Amino acid sequence: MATPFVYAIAALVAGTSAIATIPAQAAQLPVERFVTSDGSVFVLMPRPARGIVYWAEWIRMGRKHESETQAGLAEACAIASLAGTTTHGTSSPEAEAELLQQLDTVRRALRTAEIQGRADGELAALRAEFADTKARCANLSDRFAYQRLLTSIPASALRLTPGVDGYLLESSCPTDRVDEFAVLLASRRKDAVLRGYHEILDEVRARLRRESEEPGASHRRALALTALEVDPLRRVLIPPPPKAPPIARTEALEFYRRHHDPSGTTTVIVGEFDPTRVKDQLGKIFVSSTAPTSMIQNDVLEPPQEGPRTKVLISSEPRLLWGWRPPDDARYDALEVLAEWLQRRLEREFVRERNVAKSVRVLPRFPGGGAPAPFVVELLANSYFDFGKLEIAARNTFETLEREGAPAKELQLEAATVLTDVRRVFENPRDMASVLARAVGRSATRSLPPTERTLEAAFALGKLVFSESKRTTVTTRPPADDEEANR
Amino acid sequence: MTGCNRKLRHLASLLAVVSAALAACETAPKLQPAPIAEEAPVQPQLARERPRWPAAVTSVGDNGLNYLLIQGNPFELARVTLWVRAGIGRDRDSKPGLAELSARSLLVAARGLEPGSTLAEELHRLGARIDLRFEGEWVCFEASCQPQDTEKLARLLFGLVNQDAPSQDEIDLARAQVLSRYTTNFAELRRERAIERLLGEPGPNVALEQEAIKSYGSTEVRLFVGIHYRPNESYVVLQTPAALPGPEVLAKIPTIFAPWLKGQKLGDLALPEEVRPLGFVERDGKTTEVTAVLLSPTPAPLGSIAAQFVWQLFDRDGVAGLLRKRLDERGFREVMPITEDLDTGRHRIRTVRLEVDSERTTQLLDTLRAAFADLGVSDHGIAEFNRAKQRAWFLWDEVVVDSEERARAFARAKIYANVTDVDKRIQDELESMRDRTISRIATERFVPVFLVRGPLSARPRDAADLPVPKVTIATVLEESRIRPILGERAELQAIAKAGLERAAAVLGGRRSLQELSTMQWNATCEYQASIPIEEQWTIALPAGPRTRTRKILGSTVVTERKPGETVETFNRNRRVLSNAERAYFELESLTNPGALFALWAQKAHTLELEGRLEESGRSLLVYVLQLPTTKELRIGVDEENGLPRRMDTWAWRPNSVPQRVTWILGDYRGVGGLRLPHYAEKYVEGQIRGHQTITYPHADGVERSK
Repeated sequence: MATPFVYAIAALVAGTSAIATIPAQAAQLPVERFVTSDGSVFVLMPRPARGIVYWAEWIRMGRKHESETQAGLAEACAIASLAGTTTHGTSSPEAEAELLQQLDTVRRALRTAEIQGRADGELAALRAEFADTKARCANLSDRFAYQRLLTSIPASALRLTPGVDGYLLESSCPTDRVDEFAVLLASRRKDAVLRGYHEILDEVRARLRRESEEPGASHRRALALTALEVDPLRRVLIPPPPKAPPIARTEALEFYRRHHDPSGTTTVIVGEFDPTRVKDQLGKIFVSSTAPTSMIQNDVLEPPQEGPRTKVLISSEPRLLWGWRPPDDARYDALEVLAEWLQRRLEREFVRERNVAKSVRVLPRFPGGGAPAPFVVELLANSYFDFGKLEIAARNTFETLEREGAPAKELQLEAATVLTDVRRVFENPRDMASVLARAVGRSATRSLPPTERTLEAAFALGKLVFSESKRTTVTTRPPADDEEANR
Repeated sequence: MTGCNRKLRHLASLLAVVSAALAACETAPKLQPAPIAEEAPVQPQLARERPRWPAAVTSVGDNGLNYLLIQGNPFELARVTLWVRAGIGRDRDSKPGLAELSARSLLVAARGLEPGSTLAEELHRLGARIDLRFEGEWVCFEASCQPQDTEKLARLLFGLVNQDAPSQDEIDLARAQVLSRYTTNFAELRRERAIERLLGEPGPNVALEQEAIKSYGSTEVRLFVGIHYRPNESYVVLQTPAALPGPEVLAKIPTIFAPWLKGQKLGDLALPEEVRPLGFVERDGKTTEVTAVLLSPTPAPLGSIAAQFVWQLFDRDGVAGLLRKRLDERGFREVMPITEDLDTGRHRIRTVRLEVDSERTTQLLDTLRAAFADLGVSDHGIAEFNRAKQRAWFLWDEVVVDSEERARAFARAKIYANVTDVDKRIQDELESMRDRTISRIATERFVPVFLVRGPLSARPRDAADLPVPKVTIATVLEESRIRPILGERAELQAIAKAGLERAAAVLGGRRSLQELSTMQWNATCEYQASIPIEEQWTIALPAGPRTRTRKILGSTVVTERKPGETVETFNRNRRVLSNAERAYFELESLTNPGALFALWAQKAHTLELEGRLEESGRSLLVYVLQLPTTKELRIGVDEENGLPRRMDTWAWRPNSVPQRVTWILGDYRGVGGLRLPHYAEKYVEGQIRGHQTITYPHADGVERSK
C-alpha cells in the first residue's frame, strides 16, 4: 500500500502534476495536485476515513520572513487570525476597524507617556481612555464567533504549529460539510482583522525570550551565527529585546496579507471524499477575478564555506556543537537516515560505553533552517572534567567518518526504522495531511519515505557531510578559565 | 427478532473463533482473522452513511490471558499491545513509583531473540518500537512493527514479561530514566499530583516518589513483577491489516504466550477516599490558574459515549456550551478554557484550565460552579441537543480513524465494560440518547473539584492547602575521590596542623573558639519530599546538653541530649532515642563547622588528616572526626583560604543501607567575632536533596565563657 504512495508523493513534492509524472503502478492512485484560479495549491488524497476529511494548510509566513524589528510578528498574526474576520465575529466591521485604529493610537500614546515618565494624572487618563476604547471594541466583536462556527460544522479545533519558514494549520470536518469549512478558511485568509493581536505579540515575544535562555540555546545561536553569513536563520535566533517597540496593526495586517497570498499556501486534504466534487467546490471558493500572482521568493544564497570555523563560548555548561554545511543538493531524507544512525552510534559510544557524554543530539538540519542549514551534532559532557576527553573523542570519530564514511550495513538498519515511521504516517490520515502539507509546501521538516536511492545518497553523504572544510565548531570554556586568562 | 438474530450471529462468530483456536493447538487457542464487521451499522437518524468498519474478536487462553483482535484495511502496521494490570494505580502507599520502575526495568533487562542481543537491538533490526504508557491501574506496552514481523514482536513482548527479575544494574539504569523524566516534566507532574490529592488518591508528591524510587532494589522489583505480571490479569490486543500477517501467524500468537504462568487474582488495592472539593497551591505571579477536575468523562472508557455527549453540552472547544455562556455572562469574555485529559494513579480524568487575574478568583469559581449546576437544570433545546450529538459522533469517528486511538478505545471497552463491538454500541447509544439522561450522567459522572494555583491573596476562604515542596532536582554533585597525600609522617603532620590552624584562624581564631561556651543557630530547611522545616540548635560546649527544636507544620518536636540518654518530646509524648538514633543526632549536631572546630579547639575531639580532594576547582584537605559510636564525619577545608567547604556523613534509615550525606557550605559571614556559614546544600548519594538557610539568633551569635 505504501509503495505507490511513495512515487505519488515524490512527484507531488517535485512540484509537478502527480498524475502526469508518477509511474504506471502508482498512476491508479487517486492523488491529485491542482491549482485554483486564485493560485492556491491543493493536494487531494482520498482514502477510507468514516466520512471525515483532514485538512492541513501550510502557509509560508514564519520567522524567516520577519525583518529585524518584527520578531514574533508572524506567529502573533497567525494566532490572531483565528479570532475572527471582518465577516465573522463583528456586528459592524467599519466601526470595529475604526475603533481598532483608535486603540492603536491610544496604545502608542500611552507607551510614549510611560517611557517619558509623564505625570500620574496624564497616565491615568490615557489608561482610562485605552480601557474604554478596548471595551467598546469588545462590545462590537466576539473573539470566539469564528471558532464557534467551525465547531458547529462540526470541525475539530484549528491546531496551529508555527515554524521558522511557515506555519501549519490543521483541522478536520465531516465530508458533507467540507464546503462550509473551506469557506471559513478562505475567509480567514482574505478578511483578517487580527483581534487581540497586540497582547498575543507580547506573549509570543515573552516566550521567544524564555526559549532563548534554555540550556543550549546560546550554543545553537553561536553555531548559526558562525556557520552562516547571510541566511535569515542567523537573525531569527536572536530573541527580541525586552523593550522591543510594538508593531502597528496596519503593518501587521500588511505583513499578514502579503504572506497569505494564495501562491504561498499549500493545502492537503486527506480522507473520505469524492475528489471531483471537492475539486469543483474548492474551485468555486478559492477564486480570483485576476490572474494568480506568484509570490516573490526571498531565498537567500549563502556563499560557499571555504574552511573550518570555530567559536569559543564562555559558559558554565560543558556543551560542544559541531555543524557541517552539507552539499546544496543533499537529499533531506538521506540526511535524516544519516542523523538517525549517528545518534544511535554516538549514544552507544560516548554515553553508554565510554561515559564521556551526558547526552547526544543529532539534527539532520538546523531547526527550521533552509537549504544551507548545517547538519548538527550536539554533545553535552558530564562535567568539565570530561570535556577535554569528549572533544578528542568526537574529533577522532568525525575524522574517521570523513575518511571512511558511514557503514552501508548499519545505514540499512536505520532505513527499516524510518520506513516503519513512515508507514505509521500513512496509516493516519491526520498525520499524512500534515506531513504532505509541509513536504509539498517546501518545508523540510519531515522526510519522504526512504528508498534504495535514499540509502545510496546517505552512504555518499556519509563522507561528504563530515568534511573538515565545511565544519563549524562551537566549543565551551568554563568561566574560571576565562578569569585566569584575563589575569 | 432482529436483536435475537444479532445475538445468534455474534455467538456464531465467537464460537467459530473458539473452535478454530482449539483446533490449532491443544494448550492455547488460535485467533482467526475477524470478519469485516458482523453487522452493518443502523443509523437512520444520522445524515451521513458510514462504511462498515471491522469489529473486534476476543478469546481467552488457558492461562487466562485475554486476546483482542482487530483487523482492517486502513492499517499499514501491525500493533501488538500488552495491557498488564501493573500500572501506577497498583502502587501501594508505602511504595510510590515502584510500578513505573518495574515496568522500565523490564524494558531495560529484556533480551532479543538472538542470543546475546538486547531488546533495543532487536527492535532496531526490525524497525519496530515499544512504547510504555500508564493508564490508571494498567500499564501498556504498545509495540508496532511491519506486519510481516508480528510474530517476532509477539515473542519479544512475551520475553519482556516472562524474563528473570532484572538485575541491580538494570534497575539502576531504569531508575536513571525515571528520574530524568521527572526532571524534564517536573512542574507538570507536580500539578498532576496536586490533582490526585484532591481526588483522594494516595498519589504522593513527585519529590517523595523520586526519593522512594532511589531506595528500591531488586527485591522490591522482583516481588512486584512476580505478583502483577500475570496472564490472567493481562490483555493482548492485536491490530493488523486484513491480509497480513495471515491467519497462520495469528494462530501462533496464543502459543507464544501459552507458557506464561497464571498467577493469583489481584484484589482491589485501596478503598475509595473522600474527594476534596477545593484545593489551593501557592504560585508566584499576578494571575490565578483554576483547574476544574472531572472524574472520567473521557470518551468511551466504559464503551459509552454518554459522558462525551454531556461534555459537548457543557463545553465545546471552549467556544460553545454552558460554560462559555456563563463565562460571557459574568464578564470573562476574554478567558479561554483549555481542556486536557490526564491519567492519574486511579482514574482517567478531564480537566478544564482557566487563567484570570488573581482578584477575580472567587468570581471565576462561582461561575464554574454555576456552569456545572446548569447541566442538571437547563432545558438544552433541540438544536443544541443535536449539535452536541453530531459533535460527539464526529469525535468518536476520529477516534476510530486514528489507528492508535482505536486500539486503545477497543481495549478499554473490553477491559472495563466487556464490550467487544464498541463502535456499534456507541452508535446505538447515541441514537437512543434522550434529554432525561443528561442530568443523571451529569450527577453520576461529573464530580467537579477545583484546584486553585495563585498568589496567597487569591486563596479562596474554604480551600484546603496542598503543601507542595519546592525542590531542585537536576543538580548532581561532582563525583570526586579523596586521594591520600604521599609523604613523610612529619611532613603530613605539618600539613595537617597547618590546615587546621588556618581553618581555626579564618573562623575567628583559635582563642575565640576555645572560649565558646554555647552555640546557637537556626536552620530553615527546604528539602525534597518534605515541607519546610525550621530547626533551632543549642549546644553547650564542650560536653553539655545539645538541643534541637524542630518546627514542622505548626508542631514542635524537641530532641535533647542529656547525660545518659537522649529524649525526643512531641506534645505530651516522650520517647528515648535508640543508640543508633542517638549517634545520628550527635553527628547532626556537629554539622555546623563552628561547633565542630570549637570542640576541636577545646580538645574535646581530634581531627585526623585523611587526604586531599579536588572538587569544583578547589583543593580541599579532608579531616576525619572519629566518634566513639563508630560513626564518622569528614570535613573538607579549602587549602587556599582555610574555609570549611564540605562535610560528609552518613544517614541511616531502618531496613535500608546507609546513605552518604554531603553538606556543601557557603555564604560565610561574620557573627560575633566568628565567621560562620549561612547557607548549606544537602546532597544524598551525590544527588541534591535541598538546602538550609542558617541564621544565628543573638547579635553576637555565640556566648563566651567568662
